[in-house]
Order: sequence, then C-alpha cells, then structure tokens
Amino acid sequence: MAATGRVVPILVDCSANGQNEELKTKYKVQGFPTVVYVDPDGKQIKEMGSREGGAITKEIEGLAAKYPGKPTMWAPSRKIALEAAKKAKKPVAIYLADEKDDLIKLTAKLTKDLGDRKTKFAWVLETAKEATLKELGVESAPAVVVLNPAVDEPTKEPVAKIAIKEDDKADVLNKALDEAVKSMKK
Amino acid sequence: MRMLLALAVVALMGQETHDGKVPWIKDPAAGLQKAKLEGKVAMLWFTADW
Repeated sequence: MAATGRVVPILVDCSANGQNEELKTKYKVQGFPTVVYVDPDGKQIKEMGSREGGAITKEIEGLAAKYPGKPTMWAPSRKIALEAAKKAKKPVAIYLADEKDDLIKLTAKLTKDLGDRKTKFAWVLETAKEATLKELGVESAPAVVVLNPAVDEPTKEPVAKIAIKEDDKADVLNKALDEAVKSMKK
Repeated sequence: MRMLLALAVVALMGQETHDGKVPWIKDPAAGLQKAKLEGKVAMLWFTADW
C-alpha cells in the first residue's frame, strides 16, 4: 500500500510571541516540541505517547489505519501530481484556492462541474500564498494553472493560467481546460 | 526527539517524495482543511525556535 499522505503532517511554528496561540490553547500545548494527533474534524485523538522511533512509527501507522482517508481527486502534493501525471501522460492542474475558500464546498462543486476533466488531469489543490502566486506568475486566486509534466521545468513553462471569477459558470473553466489540453497536443 | 519523529514520518511518507523530506504543511489552517477534505488524521508538530 502506498504510504504517501497517510497522515497530514502540519508544522505549527510558535517561535514568535503569540504565533498560533489559538491552536496552542485548543490542544493544551505547554512545551516544545509537542506532537498532537487530531481526527479529520480537528478533534484531538491523542498526544504522542512514545518518544522511541519504532514506537512512533507504529503509533502513526495505527492512526493511519483507523482513518484511512477517503477518495479524493487531489494529489497529496504538487511533486506527487507531477510524477503521477508524467507516468500517465496527462497534464497537471493546480487549483490555487483563495485563502478564504471553504475547500470542502469547493471540492464538492468541482466534483460536480468538471465531469471527466477530474481524471483527464492530475489535480493538486494549493492555498494561494503570495509566494505561490509569484512563482506561478498568477495575479490572484482562485485560478488554475495547467502544467505539462513532460517538460524539464513545468512551473516555468505553464501551458495555461486560468483566472476564475466569482460569477463564472462552470463551462468557462471547462472550456479553458479543454483548450489547454488541445494546445499541449499541438 | 526531533530526529526520531522526523525518521518516523519519513518512514511513512518519504518513499514517495523521493527526496527523503517530510512534506510539512506550514499553514495550520490549510493543513487542517486538507485533513478534513481527505478524511485523514493530522499530525500537528508544535515547535518553537528561540
């Protein structure tokens, strides 16, 4: 069984005064480093019980087995999406979500709207930070950037950058995605 | 402690990332949303460099 992404690893940096205070309080963190496992709804399951390497691995494996995840159209990371897309000879689509987007609702909408484009592309979902927008040369989120995994530096030569406006209907994005596929085949 | 944890996480995730690095999500809100979206456990590593 592929091990990738069996748990979601989150680094909570509390270096600055007051940084991530809300999370520290919520999970009653009193010292560093502290590791807390939470279920998909954010409810604390346990604090890390062991400090021995093998036991930690077992602990994580046990939790991952209990919460195996559910099928999703999203690859765990851009890198993994690029690797999978290269093998499958299909393009990568990076959905750059606005920081305020509710990803659950967004995914439900896309699942309904995209049709077979869900499988024609290797999708990866990223929350658009300034650095990401700059890296991909996109002005604002939400947007979709289509990459060709077969080129040497896919992010430097995007196939398409598709801006998504709030009042756009689903077929605007779908048409742009179809155009991107066509332009790759030329 | 950090090294042990990093090794354990690499054991679970490192094979497919190919570079042996843990794909830490540094935005806790985005990470927790991702966990919810994927129906997975989130591992929150609270740290501070003073």
